[in-house]
Amino acid sequence: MKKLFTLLLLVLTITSCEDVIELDLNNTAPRLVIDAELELNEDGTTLATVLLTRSNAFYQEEIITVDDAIVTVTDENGTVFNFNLVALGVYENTSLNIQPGASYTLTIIDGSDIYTATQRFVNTVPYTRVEQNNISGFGDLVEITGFFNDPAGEENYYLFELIDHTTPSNSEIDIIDDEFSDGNEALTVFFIDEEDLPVGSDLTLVIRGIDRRAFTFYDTLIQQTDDGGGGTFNAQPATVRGNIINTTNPEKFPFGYFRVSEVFKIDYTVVANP
Amino acid sequence: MTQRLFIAVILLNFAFAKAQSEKFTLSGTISEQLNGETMIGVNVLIPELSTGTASNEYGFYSITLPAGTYQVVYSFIGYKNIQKEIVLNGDTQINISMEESDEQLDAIVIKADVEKLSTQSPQMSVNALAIETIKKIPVVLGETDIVKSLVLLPGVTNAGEGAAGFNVRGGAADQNLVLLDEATLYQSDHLFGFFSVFNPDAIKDLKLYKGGIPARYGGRVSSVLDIYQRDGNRNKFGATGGIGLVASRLLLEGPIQKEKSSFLIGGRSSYAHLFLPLFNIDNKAYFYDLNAKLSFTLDDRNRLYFSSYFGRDVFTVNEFFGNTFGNSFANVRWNHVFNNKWFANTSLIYSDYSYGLELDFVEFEFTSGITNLNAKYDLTHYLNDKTKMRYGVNSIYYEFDPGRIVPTTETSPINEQQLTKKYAWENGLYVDGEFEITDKININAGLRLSTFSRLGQDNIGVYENNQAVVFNDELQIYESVDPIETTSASRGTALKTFANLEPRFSIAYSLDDDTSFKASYQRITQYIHLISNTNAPTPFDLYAPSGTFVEPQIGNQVAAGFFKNMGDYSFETEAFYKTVDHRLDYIDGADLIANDNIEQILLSGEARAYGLELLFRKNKGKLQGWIAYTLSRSEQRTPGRTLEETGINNGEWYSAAWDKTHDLTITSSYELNKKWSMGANFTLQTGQPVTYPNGQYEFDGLFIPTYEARNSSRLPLIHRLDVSATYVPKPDKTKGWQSSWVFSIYNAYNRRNAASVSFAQNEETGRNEATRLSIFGVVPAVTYNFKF
Repeated sequence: MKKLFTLLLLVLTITSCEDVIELDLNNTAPRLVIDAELELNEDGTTLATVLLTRSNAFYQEEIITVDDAIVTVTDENGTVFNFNLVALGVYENTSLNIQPGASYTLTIIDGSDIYTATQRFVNTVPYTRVEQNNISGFGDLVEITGFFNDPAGEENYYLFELIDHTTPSNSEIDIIDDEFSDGNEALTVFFIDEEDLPVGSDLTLVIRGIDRRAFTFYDTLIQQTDDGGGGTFNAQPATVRGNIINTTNPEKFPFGYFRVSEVFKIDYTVVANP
Repeated sequence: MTQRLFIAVILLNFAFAKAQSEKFTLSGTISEQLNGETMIGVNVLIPELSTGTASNEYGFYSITLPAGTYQVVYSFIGYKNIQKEIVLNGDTQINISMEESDEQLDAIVIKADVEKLSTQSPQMSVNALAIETIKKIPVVLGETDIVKSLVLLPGVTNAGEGAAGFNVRGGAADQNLVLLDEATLYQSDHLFGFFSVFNPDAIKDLKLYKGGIPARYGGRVSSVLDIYQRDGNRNKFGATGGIGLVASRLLLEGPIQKEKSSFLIGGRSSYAHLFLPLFNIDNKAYFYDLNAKLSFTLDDRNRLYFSSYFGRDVFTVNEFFGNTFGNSFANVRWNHVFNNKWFANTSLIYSDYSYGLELDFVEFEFTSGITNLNAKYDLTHYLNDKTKMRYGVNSIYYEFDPGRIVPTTETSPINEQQLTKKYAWENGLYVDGEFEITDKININAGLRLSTFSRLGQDNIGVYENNQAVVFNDELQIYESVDPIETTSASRGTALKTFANLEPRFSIAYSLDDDTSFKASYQRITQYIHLISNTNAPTPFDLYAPSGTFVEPQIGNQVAAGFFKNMGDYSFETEAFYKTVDHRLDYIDGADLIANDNIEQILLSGEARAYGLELLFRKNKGKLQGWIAYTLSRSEQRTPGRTLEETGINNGEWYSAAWDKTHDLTITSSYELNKKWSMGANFTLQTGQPVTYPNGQYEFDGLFIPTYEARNSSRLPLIHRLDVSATYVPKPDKTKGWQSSWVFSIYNAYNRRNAASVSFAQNEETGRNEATRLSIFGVVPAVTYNFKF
């Protein structure tokens, strides 16, 4: 929702001319990027993966993975779960089972740096249904809406994802809080260009429970992606700090987040005339 | 007999001497002969005494002189001088009607400081543009725009093409007090800065004070844009209008009772959106304005005016998104002349700004706004020909509505909610004097006492240690804090009251009739703040009042200048230095939209700006114009509140989003012959500050750039040439249908000036790219103007 709002404003400025230009940019020292998630699926299984990469110079597209780190997660009882490298930069553990309400600590040793984060499990609610609508406004768009029931009386924060198995580049994430929708049937909306979404495309909508800090993190993060320097609607670029710190060298903080969430998914196939 | 004669002569002498030392007042109202419109700033000169005065905002003038007979000259650029022999042996009231000059009304007129009176005036840092000048300046889409014309003057800029608002001497866009017939306007633009809210046909006079702001104005730190609307033709009905590519306007005026009262009603609307369906686009973007005014001369001493304005911007996208916002006001003013030396104006004003948004796909409606009620009393005392005193009081009651969100359907996910309304009461009391100390030194000294009370409301947050923002040491970021409890207070109580004394001072020293030095100092307090963390204001940015967590902004400015008239040319230069305390800044990732407790995202910082302005003008002849150059710096910083905190941008100074190091404008017009005149503007400026990335990474499928110090780089140099040609088919016609054509080309050589640069990964090629957005390429336009 938040992302959409900003997007709408951007599109409102008369799109007149965009040119790609070459800039001479500086490079800062690379940092570790940690994409760590413990997810409790609907069927009770746990997905525990950590993706480690390094940030790079702006014009360097290649992704540098970190394949020699030591990754562990410790639960409240002190049980240590070791993560093994299963693909470039990807570490997994298959024995961890998330206990709802529990808190977990992630530890990553990368060279001489030790990174840690502690996160408590956040539960969430499943999708009840998906609706599709074809509209024209900013061009021809397909509107995919996922509905869910927000629990009343609690502060809830959600992280949504639209995964397009047919055209992976359409995948998007979004966030919302329940400030205005507490206790109601709430929704998340994704807009995709009709020409990029052929009929029959396989989609999955994902909903994940996050807490307030993660919500602020993703909010700031999404702002960084939508805009850049200068321009009327652009907020100031900000340093996005997640919940992971470097205990050996605090200045050398990492990017990324350690999430422990309940996850629900719902599949949907794109139709011609919804 | 001789003794009697002797006594008689002595007595007569005394009588005569007594009469000689007695002073009398010459006063009256100056209007245009053609339509009865009162005239502002007409010079009333008594050359033999080397003294004079000028008519005020309502056309009233008053000067007190020793009894005698004088040649009084009434003069104003573009009008025939009127010379009258006046025998002043009692208070005399003479109303004057000025006739337009037959001479070629030269195209570009900046109300002159050519008269000796004006170089002597201690008022500096002010630019007054005649509406005729503004109409001839070529701007984008051929629509005359007051704000865009002001940007051509030194010390005035904006945050880029398409940015709303304007920036004066490095100040923020919310630091300008914009007054239209004494009512405050909160937004000066339509369509995100592409058009201004002012219908040029309805405007009589405008002045922009960049510094040396007199004590009768307060509430905004950087500038005052004081605009007066015309009253309407008192003699006969008339209409003025124009048809342009994007927008059209029509103004109707006329007498209600001949020579005693008049009306004026004008409207303006854009209609480009009507063509969009031809391209299968079901979106709408348009604006409209309505100005209305009624003026009554009740008798010799009393005049009454009713003015109102209503303007809206409307955007809709195919019924699933709708956005409407704009200003409106209504005011009543009463001029009263007590006894030729005392002029009073009482104003009662209601003004508001409202914003509305409807999102059908989420099924809600959101409205927010600011309303104020304002009562003002201003008194001018024309003490004698060397002294003019002003006193006044100004009281404003504000209601700030951060928003009300309402579901539009039964199945809507939204619960109805009213964000907490906030209330405040601002007062100003001032005394101001213009004194001619010697015939070379004039000073203007004033003092304003301003107070502001933040009134009670619901949902007052109480925070631990009174801190609504904490610094997370571990993560080195600022975070919002939830209140430990919320209380409420009735609107009759004051949660916090501020009081500030604002001295204002300016001095002019004349070397000779054509040369002077001026210096000024001002201190101004601003109690309301535009909450916005984008580079330029957006329509849903709202003002917030000062209170327990927000200190008022206090601005201090010193300026010094040198002014010289050289026949057809004039030269002026000013240097300024200003500081602003308690400038608001925002924590990273602050969410401003529909935020009920903004104290949780605010930090207090400071701002400063300094610069040098140069203005060289040619005021007469076929070729006229000016060259304006400003060299300046505008920056801001927000250090941490304690030594452990980082502050914003590490507590370092960073350039303001509108900082333009070099700003050169050359404006010119050339009168080819009676029918044709040409105009050209050239602008050359340093590009806007921008934050460049110094790296990137991927996370959760997103491409994230990492950035350098805020605003540490610059967008490329901006330059642009605009040209126009005005054709008047029947230049000698003054009655009946008169028309003119204005052909203009904005950005004549199609320079792609960067408005912003964004950084993203190209979805198709996978390459990381910097993309420059430029808004206007070459834009030709035609406007047809008419009058009858």
